[in-house]
Amino acid sequence: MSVTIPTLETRRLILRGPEAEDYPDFKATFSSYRSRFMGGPLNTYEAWMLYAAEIGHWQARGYGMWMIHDKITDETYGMAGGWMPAGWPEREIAWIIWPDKAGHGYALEATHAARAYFYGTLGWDTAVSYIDPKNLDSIRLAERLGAKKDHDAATIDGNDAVYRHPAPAQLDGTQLAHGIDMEISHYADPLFKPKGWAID
Amino acid sequence: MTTTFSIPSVETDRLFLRAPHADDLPRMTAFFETERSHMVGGPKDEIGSWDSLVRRLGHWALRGYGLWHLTEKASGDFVGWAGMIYGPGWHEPELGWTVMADAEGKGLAHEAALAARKYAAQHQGLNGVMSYIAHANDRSRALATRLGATFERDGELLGKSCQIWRHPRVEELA
Repeated sequence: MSVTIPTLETRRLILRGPEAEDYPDFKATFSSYRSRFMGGPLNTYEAWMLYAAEIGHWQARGYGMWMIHDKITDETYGMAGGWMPAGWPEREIAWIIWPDKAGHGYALEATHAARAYFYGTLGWDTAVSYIDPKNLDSIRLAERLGAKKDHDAATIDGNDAVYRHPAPAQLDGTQLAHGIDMEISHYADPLFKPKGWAID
Repeated sequence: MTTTFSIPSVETDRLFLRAPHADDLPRMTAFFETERSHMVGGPKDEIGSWDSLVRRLGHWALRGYGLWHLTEKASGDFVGWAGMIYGPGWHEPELGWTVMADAEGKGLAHEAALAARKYAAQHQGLNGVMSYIAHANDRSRALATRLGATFERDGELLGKSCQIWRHPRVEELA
């Protein structure tokens, strides 16, 4: 049995499967308060097992979470991709950015590429993000990605809000798609880099 | 460029040792809901069993070895698992095995553990390995003895006391 995790490239980033050498970066964030909306902070055993699960998810489901790397330096910035463990009502698009890498638009750029892969290559027709109502940065990011709160969708455990991503057709040459591209290009170009708040 | 990892398969007289598969989840869940699982990390519900399944897969990617799931050739059934485990909290890589209740009594755990131990020594750089055995797990202790392992000392795994059994090195068994 062999598993191949595809690589995605964006303007500034390269998304690869999680590898053993990236684990210390993952552990640092998942041992910290930053991971409080993703089931953390985790102890050493829990963090390692979650990292193993992130990799195993690819084999079990055929998709999963990528490690986000800088295209030039290869340093890691966080993770983004698809997630559906047992108990999840439907397929989720998820992301986390290391706390010291926030505010550069990496989550937007990586998640936008991951979603395009799920829609375009894997043929998904919808996806949601389950977000803690207190996780304001992630709610803002979901909205910048065009997701809208879906009051009728099943939640994981009643403590999360469900954001429904725009359908593939709503991202095909639309004003929304154009707006997302423009925001990403503004992040990539320091001249246009948005100022004023720290966002993912 | 892509990220790739692979899990080898091993064949014995009556078993295939192969990669865990998502289709194994219902039987894993059934096993982990029973008291039989209490000596190997259970009980767990479906969500906990899913976590175990995907962790086992990721363990292979991170360590280069891990647990195989066992398919009984005659029936085609998924009957248990065996292989090497080394997570945080383990003091060294462990040879572990589990056979489900309805496949017990046929020597399948013995056959799987022998194959896994041999493969670990020959291909995974792990020889003279150990097994953690819960104090109450008499059947596993009997199998360890049958495998030529000997009691080494009392130990602890993830906060639970247990015994550490040491296996002979594979080249010593002829």
